[in-house]
Amino acid sequence: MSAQTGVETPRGPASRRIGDRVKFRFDRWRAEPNPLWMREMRQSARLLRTPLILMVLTLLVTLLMASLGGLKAGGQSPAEVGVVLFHVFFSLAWFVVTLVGPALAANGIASEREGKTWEAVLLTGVRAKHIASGKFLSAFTAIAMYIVMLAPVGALPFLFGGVTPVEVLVAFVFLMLIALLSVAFGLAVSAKMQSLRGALLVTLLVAVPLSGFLFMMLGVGLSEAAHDAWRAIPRELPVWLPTAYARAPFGLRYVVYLIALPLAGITLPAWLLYEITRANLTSQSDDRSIGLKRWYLVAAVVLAACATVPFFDVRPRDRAGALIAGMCGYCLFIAFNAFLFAGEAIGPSRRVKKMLEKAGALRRFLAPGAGRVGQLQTLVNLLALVAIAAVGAVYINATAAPRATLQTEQIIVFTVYAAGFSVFLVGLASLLRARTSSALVARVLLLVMLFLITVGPWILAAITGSVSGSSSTTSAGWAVAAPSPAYVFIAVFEALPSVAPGVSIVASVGASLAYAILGLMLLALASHRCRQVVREHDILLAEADRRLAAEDAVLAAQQAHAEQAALAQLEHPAETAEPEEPAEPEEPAEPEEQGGPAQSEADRQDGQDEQDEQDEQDEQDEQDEQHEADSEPTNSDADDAVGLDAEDAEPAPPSSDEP
Amino acid sequence: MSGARVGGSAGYPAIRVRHLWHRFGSKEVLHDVTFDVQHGEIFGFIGPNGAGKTTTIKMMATLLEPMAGRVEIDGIDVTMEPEAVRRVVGYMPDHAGVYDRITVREYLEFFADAYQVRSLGVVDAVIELTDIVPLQDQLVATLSKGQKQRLQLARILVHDPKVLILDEPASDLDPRARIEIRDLLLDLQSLGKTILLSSHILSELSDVCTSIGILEQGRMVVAGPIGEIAERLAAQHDAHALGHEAPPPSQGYAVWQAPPGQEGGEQAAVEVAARPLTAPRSLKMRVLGEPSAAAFSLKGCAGVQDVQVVGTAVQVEYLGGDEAVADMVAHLVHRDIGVVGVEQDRNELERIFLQATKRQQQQRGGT
Repeated sequence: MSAQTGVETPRGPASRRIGDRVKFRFDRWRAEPNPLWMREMRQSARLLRTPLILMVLTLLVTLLMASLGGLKAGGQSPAEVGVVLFHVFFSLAWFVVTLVGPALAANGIASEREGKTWEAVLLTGVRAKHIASGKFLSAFTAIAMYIVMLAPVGALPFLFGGVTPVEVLVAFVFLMLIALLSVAFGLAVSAKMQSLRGALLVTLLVAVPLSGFLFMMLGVGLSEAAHDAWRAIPRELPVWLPTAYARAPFGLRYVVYLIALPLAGITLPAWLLYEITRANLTSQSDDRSIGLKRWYLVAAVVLAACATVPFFDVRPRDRAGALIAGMCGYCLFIAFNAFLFAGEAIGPSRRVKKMLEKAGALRRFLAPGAGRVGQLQTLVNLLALVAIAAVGAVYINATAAPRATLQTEQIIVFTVYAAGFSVFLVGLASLLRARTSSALVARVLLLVMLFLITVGPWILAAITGSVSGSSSTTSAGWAVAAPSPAYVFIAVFEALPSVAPGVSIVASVGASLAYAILGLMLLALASHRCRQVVREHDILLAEADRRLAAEDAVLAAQQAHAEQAALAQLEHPAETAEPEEPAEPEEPAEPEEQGGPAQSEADRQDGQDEQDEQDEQDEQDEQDEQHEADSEPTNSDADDAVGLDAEDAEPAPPSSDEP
Repeated sequence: MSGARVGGSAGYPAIRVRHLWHRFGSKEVLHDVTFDVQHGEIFGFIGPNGAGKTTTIKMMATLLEPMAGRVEIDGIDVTMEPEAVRRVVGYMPDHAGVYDRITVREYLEFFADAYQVRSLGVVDAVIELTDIVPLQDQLVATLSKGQKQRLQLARILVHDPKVLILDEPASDLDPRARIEIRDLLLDLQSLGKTILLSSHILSELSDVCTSIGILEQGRMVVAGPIGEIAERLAAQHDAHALGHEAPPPSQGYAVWQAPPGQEGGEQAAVEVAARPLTAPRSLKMRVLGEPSAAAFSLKGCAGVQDVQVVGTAVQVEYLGGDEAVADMVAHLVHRDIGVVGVEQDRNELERIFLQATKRQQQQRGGT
């Protein structure tokens, strides 16, 4: 039952049928919506500035559209004016969504931290995924209101014609999907930042250039490629995708380029941003990276498949180049993940270890650990690169493409270098993480080293090249640059097609092998370091546990003794009354007296008598012994320490005659 | 063993902090802090700003993981089972924020949902318990500081926790709000809640706490029931007066933790000695006529250590119990000085704090 909605939670699904289960889930979601979302909606409803901003924005966009329509109406046909207005509106909407969406989402978590309400929310026990989804829904609802308010303006092109309802509808759907990505990005930044200003600053610093860059790349840039693929799509118009959906003929190319790739292009980043948000909301001692690893495994497969797409869609003689271009894209994914997992924990915490005891094999394989995640990346990267290369090589030879041997060699040389360098990169990232105290330091060091590795050899090669007097990059003097990843392109596209590839290929393959060996060594060192840190930590924890267990044993023995004494009093009140006179109720008990629950009544009586005979000096001596025993409690001496630990001492048993 | 749940067992403390260590960077903020809070107690966690109170409290509330040591709430290890601990703990942070643009009721309804409380009546019950019924439809932004503190208390009661941890709950409040919060805490204690109350304002704690722990520079100086600590300090005072180092041990609850470097090594725990209360105490007397005459007369009285005229009253520092007070009154009456009133200095906690931290300061001064 939800207190916020006041609605009873529906009873379980009527049957096991999918329809019933879906209905049940929907009803439960309606009855018990995300509490954070509900609360934020209530807060937003009382904020007066939101409708004002929405109205002003809508008015401005309407005026702009009307002005443009008026200007264009003079010399062009209504249909052309309609197309222009369509593109202007959705271009403006793109910038509204990609700039306002992240800013709204950045407000979500950072404002709670700054407003000191965050701890209260965390302590409710709401899971990180529910916090992330609640905050996401809140920000997405807000940005969706902007889109809905602008929708009537977006319908203006209908007055002029030139666009179909399908195009406008698809454009709005994509606007919503872009809003989803924008909000997820803002939320990921917000989850990391402590202050609202910092979150807004970082979000906008990234969002402003990225928004413009993507608009040009995915809009204007890709419209050229789309025009080449489907002539019905006009070139140089940014909002080409809705037109492509409406006008491109349906087929395999349609499915791949207009359905599969856009879907992957939105789903994978959105999922990644969600997992980053979730990881940043999760406690340090939890398994923060499990979601990211799941994403990584799926993304590796999907992107490996995507990397082969251009290969099949180019002329046969260009296939090697297209495949290498796809592999370059995959290598960027490898590098990104090296940085992403440079924030991995050194090893699992005690809590995670306990949880993993009940987990399956895959879950245990994906357990936290810098060395372990390095091994995972190495394995997946190698498999993916080899799979992409194998697809390319086999297809080229099977279809007897022109220059099949050269193309195959190009693919192999590139794959070997990419594989060797990926092993090195992952090994280096793992070692840096294992040796540094923070993820940020590891990432910065990795970036610096990567830059030096990429640029340094070229500087060296420039020096040696000028010394040897050779201007050809395939000459021996320039082979010094082979450690730079950029050198592989010279080896593949300049040296291999030449008559005598010679030293460039040797240098390239040698560098790749050296990178692979070095990478494996770094990975082994990282794994060793992680195991060592975890082992040392475990030893410390075990020692602490042992000491605490000894104290627990003392406490338990005391409690048992006190209970036994009380029981004995109940059974024989006359016998037990005498030795425990109220005159000295808090005198320390002798060690012999507290030998354990099995001790007989007579023994305890004797012990009490002995205690009465002791003088002050003896008591002091005993206390010194007690402190020595307390300073190094062990399981074996736990019985001796009974009653000697001052902190765990229980009050003396009641000395009254009354049971 | 870690993670073992023994909460609820007879005699097991509601809060158990054992050998807690923590540091931020190179600064050690907690040094082997150990103390217990029994069920149903109001435990005053005392210490100056920067002593490590909030760090300890955050560990109890599962917001910070200790570098070493163990914290158990109701027998549950906070490191191993933080989710379970969160169900039994209500934590009110220092200067906690609120959501301004919702009403009091909506605020509590949100937390009821977040805690997954299944009963709709809980919000009404909590509103009634914390006496905010007239405020329930007001926006949170319109509440005063005291009312917001009551709302915070209501929030942490929504899931009916066994243990309440309050960090400086009455800071920045006016006297009326402080009194209201104090009365509310006593009500909650009567409902069986265990309350840990952190403050550096001793007068805030003196009326409500049954036990205290004094933390200074990350070290627990003393912890236990107030009466036992008072007796312990009195015994120590006696021992020092007679030239002895430490009183003999006996069974008890309160502990004294010696600072490092002191004889016996680190963290020597010395138990409370049950001794007659012979440390100096003070009272104020209001007399008829000139107070200086009464002061002069009292100086010759048995047990009187120091006499000062404070305004129209006489402040007397003396040794002994009620008999000594009776003797002083008789002494004045015998000299024809009318005694209008005798007011015992009730702030025992301040005396305890000063005495307990005196040794630490002496240690620091010595080093």
